[in-house]
Amino acid sequence: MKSFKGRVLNPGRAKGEALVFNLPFSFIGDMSPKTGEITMVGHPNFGMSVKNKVLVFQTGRGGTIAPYMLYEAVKNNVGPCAILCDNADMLTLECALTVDIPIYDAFGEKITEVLKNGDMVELEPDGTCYVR
Amino acid sequence: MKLTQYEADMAAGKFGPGLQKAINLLIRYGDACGAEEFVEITSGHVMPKEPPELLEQFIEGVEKLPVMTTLHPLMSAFSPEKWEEMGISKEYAEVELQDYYKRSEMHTKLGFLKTYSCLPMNMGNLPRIGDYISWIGSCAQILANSMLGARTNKDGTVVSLCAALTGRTPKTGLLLDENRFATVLVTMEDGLKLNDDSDYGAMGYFIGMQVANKSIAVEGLPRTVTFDQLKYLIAPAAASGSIHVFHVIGVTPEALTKQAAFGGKEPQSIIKVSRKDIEATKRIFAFNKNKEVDLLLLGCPHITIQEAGTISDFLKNRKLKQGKRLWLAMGKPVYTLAKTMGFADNIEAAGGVISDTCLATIPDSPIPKDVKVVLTNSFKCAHYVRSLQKDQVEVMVAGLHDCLESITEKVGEVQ
Repeated sequence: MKSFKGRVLNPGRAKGEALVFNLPFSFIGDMSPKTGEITMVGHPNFGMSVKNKVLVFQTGRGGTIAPYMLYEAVKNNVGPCAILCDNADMLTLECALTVDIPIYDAFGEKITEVLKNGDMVELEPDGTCYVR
Repeated sequence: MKLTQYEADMAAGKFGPGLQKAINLLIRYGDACGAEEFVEITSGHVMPKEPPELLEQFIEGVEKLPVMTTLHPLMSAFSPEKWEEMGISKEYAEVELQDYYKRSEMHTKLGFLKTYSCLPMNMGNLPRIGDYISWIGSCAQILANSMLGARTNKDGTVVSLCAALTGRTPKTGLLLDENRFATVLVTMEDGLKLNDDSDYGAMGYFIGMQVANKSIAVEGLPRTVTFDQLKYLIAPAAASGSIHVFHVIGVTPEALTKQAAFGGKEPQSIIKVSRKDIEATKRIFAFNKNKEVDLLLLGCPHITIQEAGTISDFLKNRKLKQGKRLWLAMGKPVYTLAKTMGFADNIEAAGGVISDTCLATIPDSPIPKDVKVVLTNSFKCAHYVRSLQKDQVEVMVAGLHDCLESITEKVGEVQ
């Protein structure tokens, strides 16, 4: 079992499979708030669900209404359980705070390169992430 | 974050559960940003698209907003009054209307001003230089930071809502002097003259493409440049790029001199804009006179009363060609004045539909199926319609005159 430690932007506990994007991500346009499915046409993760996943991406891609989209997804029980970023932007932080899920970034190495789809990730409130 | 007694009381729930939730979200947000304290805001501007049950949680126990707060457009072509006339599908409208009425009641109760405009400063929400504010909308944000010298971060929907409710926002980012100075100088090639809205828009869009995450200062525009010209210049720079403050030397309040704009430092880089750059930028959304246009969009950012007059004058004795659509967007106070002046009647008689929607985000709601080619005078609008519509419609940009001419004909003229 490996572990990584990141900067804590909103602390919490969570456990789930990683869903990894090696690019900037937005909750408006890249994900359906109704189904939680990835809507990025042509992306390898297209059609996969973010439900209960640890969502891993480089940074946010904007869209000021994004917090409401993530809120809708969580209300529909299809939201992610945590967010890990290489470098989180302010809007992604705002999204995570709106639904109060943990968000960590700045792991020293690029978390998007370390984690792979399907890795089981466990988050501790101090920023530690265990991977198996 | 260091809290005042009042803020600490709010966080402890002394003023009710809504404000407690709002201030605690802002405290966690401020902590993560490295802010040390809150500032009091003088103005709010929020997005009226809150999930109703979330809005309910945030306003629980709140009686009145602490500062003047206006509402943004609904972020789609959906208008509670005009959706049918615009050809928006009934299924979509019925769902939207339910949430709209729920929210609207809460907005009225708390005193959110129902301007439904992306230009709050044109609706009487006019902060001054140095004021701390929290506004939603990429265009409202860059215009407030640049044209007014008021200070807002690029807050999202929830942070701006929490700020409007609590009257507080974390002191960070663009609220701090050192993050507002220009680092890039934009000059204009000798003799470069900007002739119409599409020239201003192309220049702004071009600058946005060249610069990321910085503040810039443009040199070479006359002091007499108008609000509308600045609006078309500055707004697209927040769409094609992520410019923070768009200073115009000798014009905007924090850039009355070049030295002030750069905080006494030398520019880190210089971009020179030429006629060639402007024409190349226009080719991104190239206007083809021979192409049949299905839908003309005017009002991104929202139409001002001056523009409404210009459009009205042009449309005298003209009407929309058969089967074409003309959508115009303006805030409610501007519409009222346009009605008083007769502008709105002229525009509507010619076949235009005026609403207070957001024309840049129209693909959020299903646009009518017969629309294949969209024309607009706004680069910002063209940018978002193309990207949100994922290339399913063709998008072109032209100056206001060409736009109106291409979609209307003289009354009595045979096509």
